[in-house]
Amino acid sequence: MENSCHYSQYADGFVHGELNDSEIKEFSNHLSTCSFCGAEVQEIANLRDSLNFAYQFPLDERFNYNVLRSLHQREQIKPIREIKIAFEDILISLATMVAIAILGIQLFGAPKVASVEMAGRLTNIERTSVEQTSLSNDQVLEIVMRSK
Amino acid sequence: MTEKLNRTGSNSSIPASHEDKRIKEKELIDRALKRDEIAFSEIVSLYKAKVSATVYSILGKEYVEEVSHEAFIRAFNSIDRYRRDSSFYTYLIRITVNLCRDEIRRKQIKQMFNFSEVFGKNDDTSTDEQVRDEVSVDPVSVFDTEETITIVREEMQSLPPILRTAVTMREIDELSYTEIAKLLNISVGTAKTRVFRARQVLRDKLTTRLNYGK
Repeated sequence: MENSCHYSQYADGFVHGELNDSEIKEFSNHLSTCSFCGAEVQEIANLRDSLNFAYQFPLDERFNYNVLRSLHQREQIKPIREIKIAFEDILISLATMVAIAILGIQLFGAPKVASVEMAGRLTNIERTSVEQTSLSNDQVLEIVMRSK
Repeated sequence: MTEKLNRTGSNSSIPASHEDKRIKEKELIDRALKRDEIAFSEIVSLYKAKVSATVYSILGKEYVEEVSHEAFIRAFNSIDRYRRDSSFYTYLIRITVNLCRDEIRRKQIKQMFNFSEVFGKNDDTSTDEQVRDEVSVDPVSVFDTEETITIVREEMQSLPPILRTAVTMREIDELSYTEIAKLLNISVGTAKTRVFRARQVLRDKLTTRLNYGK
């Protein structure tokens, strides 16, 4: 028997059904005359079959059932997780709105002149001076009433 | 290779044509995407033999049920993200092989921190030991074929994980070298080299152990 053959590179693809029609025809013709390639094909095929036989592990219908059950269990968890996420989103939105409101008040401050009625009783000069103070509305009102 | 190996291979099933498989798979995936449970079950039935054989070959018998189960669950849970650029079977095998690789890494880390040998007792039931135990149960009662199969398993387990994984993907999962290269993130040349090397080692060892005449 020969020690090598350049056709032997096709043996693997031949066994695994990866050759095209013309390659199969050519290699099949070659096999009838080359014992080296014949042995190569047989060895690859035998090893493949042996491994497939050696590693058979029968998994019965219970395996299918267990997979489906696990899928169910994980899907049942999903909606709860989604509700939790939605609830957290609402809380975060509310907290953000409150934070923005507080920030707005801090930045722009509460109007020193609290009501239209009170504003109507102030002169323009009084209004300007009131707006420049850091007194509360009640304190301002008291001062104004006293001065009048 | 040998007469003995010939006998062991006689039970292997003849696969349906690739086109039939592809059509069947596409139909099942379409149904599974609509959360059709029967489709899920059919997919499990269709591929569980290949998935379990892959886990058995790469990791060992004791991991088969757990890892196969997890592989299907992960594949189904991410089925919405499955892009149809490869078959679902290839996608499933990719998940399975990745799980096996994770497990191998865990085992290697565990072995690094395994102090039980110091105390003369090893509680770690590794695959190799299990296989050896199986052999030593009752050598007289095992049939010739069973003995051959055990030797094949032993020699597979003695291969380095990268060679074992490559030859498993080629011979058991029936993947092309291009698919193997893609799944293992290596070149096609490297994939071919690993499979060739694994075959060569197995051939040499099996020839010696099973007294095959050259």
